[in-house]
Amino acid sequence: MKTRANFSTISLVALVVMSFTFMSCEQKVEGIKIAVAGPFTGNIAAFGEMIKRGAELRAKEINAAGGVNGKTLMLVFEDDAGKDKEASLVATRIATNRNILAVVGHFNSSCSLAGKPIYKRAGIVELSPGSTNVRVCEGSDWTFRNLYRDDFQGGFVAKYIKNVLTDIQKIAIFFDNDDYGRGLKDGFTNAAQKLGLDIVATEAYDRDNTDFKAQLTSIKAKNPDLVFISGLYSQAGLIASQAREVGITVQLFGADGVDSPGFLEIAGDAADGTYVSTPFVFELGGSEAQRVAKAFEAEYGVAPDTWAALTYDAVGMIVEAIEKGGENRKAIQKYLASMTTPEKGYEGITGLTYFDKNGDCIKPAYVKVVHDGKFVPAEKQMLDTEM
Amino acid sequence: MRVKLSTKIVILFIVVCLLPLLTYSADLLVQWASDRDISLPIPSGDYMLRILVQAYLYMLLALGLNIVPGFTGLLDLGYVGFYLVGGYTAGLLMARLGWSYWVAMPIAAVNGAIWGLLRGAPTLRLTGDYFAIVTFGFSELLFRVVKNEEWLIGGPNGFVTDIPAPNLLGHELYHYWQQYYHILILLILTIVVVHRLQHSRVGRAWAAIREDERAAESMGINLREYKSLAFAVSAAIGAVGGAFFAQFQVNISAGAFEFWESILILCMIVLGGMGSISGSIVGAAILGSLGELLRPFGGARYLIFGIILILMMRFRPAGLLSIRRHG
Repeated sequence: MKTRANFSTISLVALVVMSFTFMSCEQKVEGIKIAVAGPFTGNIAAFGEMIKRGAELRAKEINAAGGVNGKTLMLVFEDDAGKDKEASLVATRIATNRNILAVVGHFNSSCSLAGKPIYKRAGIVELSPGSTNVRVCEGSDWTFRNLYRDDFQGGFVAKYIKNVLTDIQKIAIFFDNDDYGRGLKDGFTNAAQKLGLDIVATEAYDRDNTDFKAQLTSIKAKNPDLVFISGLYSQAGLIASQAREVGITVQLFGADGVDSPGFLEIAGDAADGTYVSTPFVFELGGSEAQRVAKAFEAEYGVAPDTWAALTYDAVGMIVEAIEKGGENRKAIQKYLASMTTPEKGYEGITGLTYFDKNGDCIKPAYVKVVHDGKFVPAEKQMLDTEM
Repeated sequence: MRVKLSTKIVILFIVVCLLPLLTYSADLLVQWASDRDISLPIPSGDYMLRILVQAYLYMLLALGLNIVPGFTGLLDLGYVGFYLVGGYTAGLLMARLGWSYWVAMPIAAVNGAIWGLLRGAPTLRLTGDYFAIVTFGFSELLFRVVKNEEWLIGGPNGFVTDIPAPNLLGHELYHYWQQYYHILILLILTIVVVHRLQHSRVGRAWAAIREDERAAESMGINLREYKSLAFAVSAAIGAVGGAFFAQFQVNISAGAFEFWESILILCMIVLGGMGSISGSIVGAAILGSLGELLRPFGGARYLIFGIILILMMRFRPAGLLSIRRHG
């Protein structure tokens, strides 16, 4: 049969081509290799792009300054597509490659969790520049992160309101019914109750919605002084403009999910005056942060975001651990695990990073405010990390 | 009825049993070469085994799904729902209550079968698109519950963490070669069960239902009974897959049970040939590992994935190994 012959030829050719590419994917090692794992494809690839650029920029600078212990730093990018099943495969790929000394990643909390047991068994450090779920670092000595947890951020916002926005007493919470929105809401509620703030309404919304007027109307009836939007920028933008439409004129507050130019675009004038908390603000960073922001923009033509900054620091931390700890996986883990006090911490562009016993990091949050259609650092910051 | 073992199958079986040896000897070869400063471009044994385990898991799921659309001719778009039930039943029993895997897995299977019957009850009279829509709704419902439920699963996104490895006579089974034989045994058991069912009175009744429901009923086949049996068996196999996945993955989240997984598994049996056991296996072997084998192509890999699917359907519209219909 003719079609049959065609079919077998095609599949044979396909197989041969595939096995060649499969085999040629690794090159000879000359230098120090670390892996960067993140969502470089898939529906949140925009975050992955920033992570990749942040890491590349740092590697370029390190190599220009003479490398790591005189050797070239090489980054191995592995794509988890933001899916936990892919993350486990990628983690196996990385963990079993003895040339790779540590991993910067993953971004999604579900991916960091998927990789955690694999990295733990193989004994290789996983340093996440983006996972904020509470459980990520629990129970493994090999998993670290260089940003705060969802519950810290929620608590921080409550504390900021109590200490800085002193005339606010009654608060309404409007949260995204997803892990991020809920984790944040829970952290916020706990802290707010302890601080004696009055939560008058808690409403949920679904990420697929575009019309929030029903919930907003019921929030308005409770007459709050402030509405805390615990969700992502795309819905928060709509919520801000619809809140103004239904007549809610009070202060709006969002967390790092709202910290995106997308929020300003969607909300328009309604965004003005909104506060957001975030792990990092380039404007408030030191001269080093300003320099990196400029270098980043010169290299890629866009301004770096928080994730690029955190990845930039994560690569730097691993390199410091290699230089001061040693050129093997265990030494890197030992070095990071010993960074338990501010004095032993790592001073990066996003601030000082040091860890608690889980490998969670104790790091301040920043506050920005929308002014004339732009995010600017809020006048008062609250950078202590005591909760 | 006896299962006839042809020489081909015996050889295939031996090869499959020896695969971990092959992957680990590749590791030794790479080690030997690197001691002599030669870098061999061979991926690590554990990584290859992980791809194999994933492919075998998909084979098991494809065999389970195949029972409903392949044997009884009802389009099931929500198979991942049972996979999810199995994963969370076993995961929660093991991680929260500390139950042994060997108890949790059968319970997961039974629980899966119960959900299969529950879903079956209102859909017994539905066929075609209507049945497909109900199955889709069912899995989406389970997915949403797991994602948002607080009392049982305890939080957003359905995270169940630190699911322990199965313990066999005091040994924890977490090495990849152990997981490999673990899923291989489950897979062979599934193949035997499904094969026996297909060639039994039940299988012929299912085939009759698939070809013409009314005619089958007029010949004295109890539709309610046979359809329910198909749903229960199919769901139980899916749940076993889920239980295996839970302990293999260690930390699970709702994201692993998205609608896309149902479609992927359905694609496997369509590609392999609906209703055919070997077809399901071949389809799952290809689609279950292709995504990973194409990784070197980077961002373009799902493009190539799609092109391969289209080419397959162009040249083999009835699937790679379509069933020969008797009579």
